Amino acid sequence: MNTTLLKHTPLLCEQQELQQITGDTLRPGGIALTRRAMEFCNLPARSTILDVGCGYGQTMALLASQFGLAPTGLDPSSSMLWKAASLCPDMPLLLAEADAIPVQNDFFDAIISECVLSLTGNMQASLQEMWRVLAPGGKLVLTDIYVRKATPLPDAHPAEIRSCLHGAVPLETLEIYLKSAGFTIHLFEDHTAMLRQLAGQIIFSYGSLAAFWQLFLGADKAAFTCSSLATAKPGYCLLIAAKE
Amino acid sequence: MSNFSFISETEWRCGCCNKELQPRKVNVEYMGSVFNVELMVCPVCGFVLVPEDLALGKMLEVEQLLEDK
Repeated sequence: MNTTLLKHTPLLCEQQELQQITGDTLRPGGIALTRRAMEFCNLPARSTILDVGCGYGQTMALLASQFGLAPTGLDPSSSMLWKAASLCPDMPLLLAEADAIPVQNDFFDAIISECVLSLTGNMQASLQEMWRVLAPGGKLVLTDIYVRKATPLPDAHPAEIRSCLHGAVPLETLEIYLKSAGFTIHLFEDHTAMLRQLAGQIIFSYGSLAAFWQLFLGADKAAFTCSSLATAKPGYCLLIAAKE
Repeated sequence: MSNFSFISETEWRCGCCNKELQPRKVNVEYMGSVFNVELMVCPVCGFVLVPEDLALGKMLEVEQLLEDK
């Protein structure tokens, strides 16, 4: 995979056509899944937490206001961080990639990364970096798309648009990556219904999944994308792991 | 932007209220999921007209998606 190329292609989640459906959370499940994850983690008030791929800062605002945490946001998009700064004016924000976090070792009590890991272009390096900046005993909260059948999705998604579907891997692969980075998995929950809810809403809003992809791709590539996704059968999951 | 819409001029009127239907966003519950769809609705009682192409077309595509086969 050409990581450099991917990092400079437009993001699907930044497109207004998707934002009109997901709102500013930019992902399946919205804040409901964030709440579920935080209730499981039960972090003490004032715990430090890094939001890798914080986007517009919706999760950071939730973590601070409703869970009493001290969030730091990280995102490679300056335009997203600009909006996050207005929503979370007193919170630290880092303009950086997930595989090069400009923070010292063992710093954060927890890390959250929602529908982002598969976007990073190098999941293994990103997980190793998250492990490095996480304090011993710290929790890692991941939500992400996975594929149930290994299919060459990157070929199905040309460089015109980039989404978390791009780098999605089978669950077995994600589990290997997590363990290789040093994490112990504490919780796995399948939330594929949330992804299907989003896909269904796209159909009702744009007429069909193919019509939606045609907003960003040519007709042939949109059809190829739909075909590849039907084969890959994407799912969506919540994973909570720890650095032990 | 998409030009897709289920909204269209219709001769149907609400049988109870005898009012012309108007476009409105409604929540459609289908197979355990809730979707926001713009449809023609009676402004008085909230009667919703489900057009044929929605019932027989888009619903089928969503149904296939939700069935998880």
